[in-house]
Amino acid sequence: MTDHLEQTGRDDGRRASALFHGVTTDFAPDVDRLVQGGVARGRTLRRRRRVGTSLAAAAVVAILGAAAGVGSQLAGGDAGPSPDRIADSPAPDRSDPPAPTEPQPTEPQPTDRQPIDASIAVAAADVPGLIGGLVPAVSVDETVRNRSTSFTDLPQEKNVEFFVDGTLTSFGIGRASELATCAELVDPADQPDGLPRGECVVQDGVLLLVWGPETADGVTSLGVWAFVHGYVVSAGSTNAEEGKDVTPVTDAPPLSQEQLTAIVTSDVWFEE
Amino acid sequence: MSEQEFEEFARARAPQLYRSAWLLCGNHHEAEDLVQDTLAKVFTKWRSPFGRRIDNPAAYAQTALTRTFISARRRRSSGEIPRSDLPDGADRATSERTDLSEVRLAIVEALAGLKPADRAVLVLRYLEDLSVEETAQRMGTSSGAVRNRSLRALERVRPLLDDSLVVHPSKGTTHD
Repeated sequence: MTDHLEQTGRDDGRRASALFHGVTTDFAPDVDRLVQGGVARGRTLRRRRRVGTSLAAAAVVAILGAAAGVGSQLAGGDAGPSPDRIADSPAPDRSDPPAPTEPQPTEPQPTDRQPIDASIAVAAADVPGLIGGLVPAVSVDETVRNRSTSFTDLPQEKNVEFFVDGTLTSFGIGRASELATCAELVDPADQPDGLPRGECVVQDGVLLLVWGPETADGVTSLGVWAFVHGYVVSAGSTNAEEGKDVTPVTDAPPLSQEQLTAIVTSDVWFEE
Repeated sequence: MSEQEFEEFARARAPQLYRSAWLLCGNHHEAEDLVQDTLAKVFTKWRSPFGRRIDNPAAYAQTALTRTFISARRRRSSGEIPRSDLPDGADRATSERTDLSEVRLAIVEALAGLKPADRAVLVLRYLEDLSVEETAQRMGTSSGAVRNRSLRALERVRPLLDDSLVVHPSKGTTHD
């Protein structure tokens, strides 16, 4: 009896599959409209979420204001607005043009939207070696991890994974205009668990996003991003060979917040 | 991952998402709406950094679509009442309806009589061809619950599952 029911269920399932595939296979939706609508709604969603977390953003403003002082601007950027715009302005579209000289009344540009004023001076494959020179206290394996998903070597984008003291370490440079703003990146509403993720601080005239150490999926990690020259330079350190679901090889990530900051704020990455 | 990469992913994935959405919603406009809402949610996560990249964007999008659909139906639950029996028109699908569009209408009518979660199980199991375990994961429920819903939902749509009904999208539907 049970066998009969199971067989009936399998037969029904097979027929249902054939039917569903059959009636939908020739659908030809307007893909352009779906994608454009999805992107537009995604941007709106981000903005709306930010309104809900304005208090957290206001705290960032206070930190930045105290750290940077009135009128200070981000590294190298003479056209960017003051830091207090970071949190009280709506999230810009990724396709927004570089920050205009005169802030627009409705959508003032945040400080992490500087025009690009330098070129990336390094090849992705050279990154581990250069980092070894910046933080000699650790052992850097100069072999770049051979994974297509983690390696990019384009004129305006570099992504590399390699190993420091046997632990997975990541480094990247990308156009800031391709990413969310610093305030958005730490916005709890944009995090999978809804918790705050790092903070935006200004150190030596450079806007930094610092996060961690935090433990997720069994691996502890931390990182620092620097918004410089219209790019975001990021570095992250973990205590394991993979980003998650593996046994850690060290108690803590080998690179400290200070060392990561030294890496991402180094002059070695750019030439003006 | 850049916005360009997101758009490439969205373009590749949108047709399949739309197929699922159409079966879930039963009409073009709501299906488009659901797909756009789904892509919007993927978009916001696409740019979440800190090693929290979406491991499997296709699976993430399918999960988002399913849960968005069920959540939306919960919010407006008063407007939708599962039926105890299939509508009269559904039975006609296997006996009289031979045109593809009419089969589609029969499917829409049959699925509309199911609870949203039951509908989602059918779509995930038999359009996305996911296993019971994968379906449970997408829906955030147990494998047992998926099995029960699947059996119940299949029972309800059985009148449509005539082996002799063969769908030829380009030519309409014929009986062997």
